[in-house]
Amino acid sequence: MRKSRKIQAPALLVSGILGLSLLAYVSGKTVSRPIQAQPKKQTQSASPQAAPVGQTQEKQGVENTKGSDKIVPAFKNIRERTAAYVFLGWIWAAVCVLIYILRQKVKEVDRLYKAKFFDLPVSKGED
Amino acid sequence: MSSRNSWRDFRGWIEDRLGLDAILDFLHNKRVPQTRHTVWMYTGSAILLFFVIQVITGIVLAFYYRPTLEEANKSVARIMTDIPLGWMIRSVHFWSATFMIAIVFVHFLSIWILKSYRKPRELTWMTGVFLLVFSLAFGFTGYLLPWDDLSLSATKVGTDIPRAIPVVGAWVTKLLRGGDDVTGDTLTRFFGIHICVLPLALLFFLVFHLFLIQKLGMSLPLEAELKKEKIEEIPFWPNFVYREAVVWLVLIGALISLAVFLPPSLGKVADLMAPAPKGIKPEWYFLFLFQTLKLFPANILFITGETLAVLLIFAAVVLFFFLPFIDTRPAERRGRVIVASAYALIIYALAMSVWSLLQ
Amino acid sequence: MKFKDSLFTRRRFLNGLLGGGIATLAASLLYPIIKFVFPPYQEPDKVLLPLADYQGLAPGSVKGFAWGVKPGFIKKKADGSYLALVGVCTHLDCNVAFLPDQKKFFCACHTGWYDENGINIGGPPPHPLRTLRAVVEGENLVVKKEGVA
Repeated sequence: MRKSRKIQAPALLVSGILGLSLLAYVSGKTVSRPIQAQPKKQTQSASPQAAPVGQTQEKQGVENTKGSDKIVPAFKNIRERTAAYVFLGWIWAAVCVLIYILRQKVKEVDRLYKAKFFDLPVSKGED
Repeated sequence: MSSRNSWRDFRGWIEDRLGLDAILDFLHNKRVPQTRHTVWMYTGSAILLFFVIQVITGIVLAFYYRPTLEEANKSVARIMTDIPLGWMIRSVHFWSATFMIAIVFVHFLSIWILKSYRKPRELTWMTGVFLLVFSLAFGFTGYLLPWDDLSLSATKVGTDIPRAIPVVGAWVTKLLRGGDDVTGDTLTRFFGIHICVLPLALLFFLVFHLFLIQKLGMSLPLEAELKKEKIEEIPFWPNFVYREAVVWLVLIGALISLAVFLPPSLGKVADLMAPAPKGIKPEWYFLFLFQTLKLFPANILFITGETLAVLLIFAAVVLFFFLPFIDTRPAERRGRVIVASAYALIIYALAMSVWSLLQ
Repeated sequence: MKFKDSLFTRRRFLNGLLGGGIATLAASLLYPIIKFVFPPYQEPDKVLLPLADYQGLAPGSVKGFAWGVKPGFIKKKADGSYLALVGVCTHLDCNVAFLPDQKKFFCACHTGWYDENGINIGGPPPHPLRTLRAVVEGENLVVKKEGVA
């Protein structure tokens, strides 16, 4: 497992390049995104706003650029924005917990492999 | 406990009829070499992860998308405003496309540099080139579907480029466009290609690609093969898969984060009569090609600059395809030149893309 | 190795946590998909009809209108007020027709019959046609769901 240190340099380099290029691309998009006119109008049909769980309200905003319709997604209110943060926080929390559990599993399974636990015909795989 | 026994009984029932334990045993026995290059082996399953995400979000988007000239843009607008969380599903589909193609590029370059296409893995490489082309075709056809001003212009430019190929060029453009011009027929055609033709073609080549990988096993880096050193290995299942799962989780987290905070917008409806909007650009994965095309002068001797550029690009793709047969002496000078050309391509593509973005 | 007093081994506990965690993440990711695939109910709150179109109706006669994506019928009652019905058969959702000579609603799918007020009188329909409220508001005939202000 010590040998894994050697792979860190190129892996870091590539993920660094990818991350930076993604960052550049993303910041380019956010900077060049058209500024929303105030107030934002919504394109809603006559359907009732029957969102039982308030978090499901999606974000939308219609901006009239030169008399045409361009739809730029944006949060309608602080409730939607908070819901998005909560959802993301929950996903990352689940991801971090799962990564922790998986690391434990990796340690366990590596130990078992070294102890020749998986070799046939003594036992058939992990119990 | 009885639940464990019933699980074992169920597995026994399946095993008696399907014999799937053979697959499990194979995965248990499959070994993944642990070298400093092993990190690149995570790219393959990452591509698969994003492809599955694309299929699921794509199917679900197709429930509401209407692929006609009159309704395409309206239906995407409806998805983004009316349907609950439609903006997010569309955003995930959009970002997952970017992630998938980025990792396809990394995967392709890493195989090139590590020379994993050496005997007996030539077919794996060649099916992989097909998969690369299909991935880019997915991106190209999908880009038109919202039918807004930007995507119409990008498609007009993109489908005009094959016209520069001698002899068959005009015919290829007509096939792509459904006529001489980009019209509503182009849209329906691209939709059919995007959701039916390309998935079937990609699945076919993917099954072939994956079968070859399992059959031939994981490749070793060139120096390890030459020195015939003993390489530490871990089983694919469960050891390597658990490690892959960690990578998948991080990627999913990154995808959802980007999708929630940077959803794509929708431009106004494409107008076939309107002049091209200023600042049109293809998607990022075509930027370097787009910029290269711009570099060529209008005429060189008796052929147009565009024809020359297209022929060069086509020649490059053919060279990629036959790379295993060109790189016959990987350890010698020719092999090193081929690796150097990979780095050169990376730098060139990055530089061209950045230049294109800054323009 | 399982201790005598413990419920399960450490390995099974860890596997259970992993499975539970994956299931939780999968459910969180599936939730937006499910919400997306089940769009909100599309029936309108109310429909505004130009009163001029319905003022001239003779008492007892019926005219159609659009209730969202379903057909509706407006019947002028003897006292001059309006009765609004949703023209969808309560048996299996076919659209019904009004037969003016018989003054009955007829569903062709399974020969269901309703009288001129929408009460089921023959054939398989189990319930009367659904009623809506139709009130005159200024220049409009406003059709609303029952029970809505």
